Amino acid sequence: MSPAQYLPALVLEQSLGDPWLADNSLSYATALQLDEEDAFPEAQVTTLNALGLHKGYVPHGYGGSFRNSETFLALGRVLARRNMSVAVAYSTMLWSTLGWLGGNERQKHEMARWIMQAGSFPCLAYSEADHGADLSANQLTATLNDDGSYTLNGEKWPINRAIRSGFLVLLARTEQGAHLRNHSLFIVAKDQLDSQCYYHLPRIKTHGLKGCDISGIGFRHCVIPASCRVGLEGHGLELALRGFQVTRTYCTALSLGVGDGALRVAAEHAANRQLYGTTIDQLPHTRDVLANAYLSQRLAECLSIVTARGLHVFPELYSSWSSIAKVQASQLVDFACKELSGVLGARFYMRDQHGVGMFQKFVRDGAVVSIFDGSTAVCLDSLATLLDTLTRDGEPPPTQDMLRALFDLEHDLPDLDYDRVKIYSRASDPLLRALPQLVQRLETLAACNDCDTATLYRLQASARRFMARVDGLKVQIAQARQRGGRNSALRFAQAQSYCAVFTVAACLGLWLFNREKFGRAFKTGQWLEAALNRELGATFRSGALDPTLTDALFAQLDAQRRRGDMFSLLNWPLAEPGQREHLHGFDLDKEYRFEPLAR
Amino acid sequence: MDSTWTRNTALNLSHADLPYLRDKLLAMVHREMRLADVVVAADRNLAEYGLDSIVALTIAGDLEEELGIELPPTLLWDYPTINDLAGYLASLAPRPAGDAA
Repeated sequence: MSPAQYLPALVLEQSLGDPWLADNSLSYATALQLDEEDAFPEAQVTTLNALGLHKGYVPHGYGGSFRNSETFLALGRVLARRNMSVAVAYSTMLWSTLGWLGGNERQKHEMARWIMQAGSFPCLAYSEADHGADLSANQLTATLNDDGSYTLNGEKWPINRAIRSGFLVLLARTEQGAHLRNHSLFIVAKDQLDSQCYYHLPRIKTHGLKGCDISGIGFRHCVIPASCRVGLEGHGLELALRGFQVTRTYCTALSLGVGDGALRVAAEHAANRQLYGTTIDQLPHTRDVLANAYLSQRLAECLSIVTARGLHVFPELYSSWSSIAKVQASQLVDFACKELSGVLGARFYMRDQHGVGMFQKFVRDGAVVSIFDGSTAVCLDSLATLLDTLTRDGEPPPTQDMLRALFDLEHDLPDLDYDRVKIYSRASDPLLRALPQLVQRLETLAACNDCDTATLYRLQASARRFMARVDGLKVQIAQARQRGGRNSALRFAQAQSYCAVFTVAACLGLWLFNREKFGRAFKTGQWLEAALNRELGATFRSGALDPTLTDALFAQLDAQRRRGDMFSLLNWPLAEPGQREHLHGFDLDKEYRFEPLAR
Repeated sequence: MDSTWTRNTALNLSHADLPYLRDKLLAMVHREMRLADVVVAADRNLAEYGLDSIVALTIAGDLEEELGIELPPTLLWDYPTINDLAGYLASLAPRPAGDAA
């Protein structure tokens, strides 16, 4: 079955039709052609606007259709599996988050109008050429004038959609000196600006996302109204860091779309490529790589689902959870892609072979996720600082209600409360605190037809071993506790391990709370056994998985590929081969009434 | 964790005056920011000595631990000098009985 929050994405998938059909707007043929031409996906963005996708970025309280982070992520995944350039070009809509988070009522309604009525896109104007992630060192200034207006001077670069945006979410220095209250946040529509006082910097040629408008914008004595400032003067960096907590969490949609697309190309190739008298998916090593890539995709999906739901349940924790989500999902997918490239052999290196040509685009485009929105290093640095707090003992475990809200996909979620997204949290990690309860729950399960005594016993033993590894990591973190100075390389490594541990715990929770919902392959728990036993990290090694588990994972991958389903724990049928797009009648606001899609 | 240091510099707000707090905070900031050979001026923004959002969080966290009270995570954002911090912490000190306004 597919829980109700996924229905808009299921319908969008069908509306966009088969990506292998060249005539469809979001086809692979078009994606590759635009990529070769470094061309912006003009028609594709228009198509998505026509479908009303922009409404999905505006909370329902302001007239839009955003209610649920899981729905939002699922829609992004449908786009990213087709064409990352389109997904990323469209994704700047997400920078409206800064308005929902910090804006006053007038600003929120105004921004909702820009998006909903004008289809106007924002860009995020934070970065400067000389300062990277060191945002407080940035130099573009907003000087306060006597009448309350501000005058902008300086340049922002590189900025996604700097040229093709209707409004800017801009971080500008409002005080001299290097301190944390020296920047303020502004949301400015370009039509509020004197056209003689700003200019665009040319598009940059990039390794991936070749069609995207990665460019810049500069200001010379450009006056903006006082009403553009969001939040208090000097509070820009704080808002920026809080905004990233939401947007980083949503980056997992892009990784999942890329992971699905790349794995599908490789698995399809392996199923059809005849060598040594067999198809290559029958070769043990190839099968092992495919099975492991499928498992990585499952791990990334579980992490994505739990952190999407968590944003509604534990928003205070997102200084850490957002970093975990982004770091681990992107690394799982990036590593899987690297290994899958071996399955394609020489074809991995080709750009224009139909079918496999798409693979290298997925890999190039997908690599951006670990770079933007706070790179992996930036996220791990922040997470490393929080490790002592996250692993602190003494707080009570989460209640059953909290666990159900986090894990049970049929449990309703409260609205996302942006006010509860705090710059840093002092709480220890409820997911780790819940781990003994989850393992206990597993210990008390009864065997059934789909999960026999032997499997259940192995799962229980694996979970106990996993919990011991988690305890070991907590001890290491406590022993390496660091006072002062930059986070050490060891601390980074521990943050990395923490991401892996968190991800496996998310898998365990999802399985326990949804066992009956997603069919036999999910319920048998073999994928979970593999997740519990694989090395804690985003990588995998050949031959490390028990061959029985490799075969089980490969069988699930193969069944979903043959049926034309998303590689997912959910039942998520993709558009049929040859299916034409139908771009009328999709409405994000509609109450979709689907029969459960049991197969 | 360096428990000797923690014991030696433990803050006690109940008899905290500004010079006492300033001394303790200076020692802490030197330690946290690895500024052994640098003279930190009590009226200068700590960002000038390398304070960023991550170090700010660490220091706020350690102060919380020392004092056993909850502090805003943006403490060092809003009180960015030793003088500012000492003044803020002094304002949290319990007042002697009968001193209530």
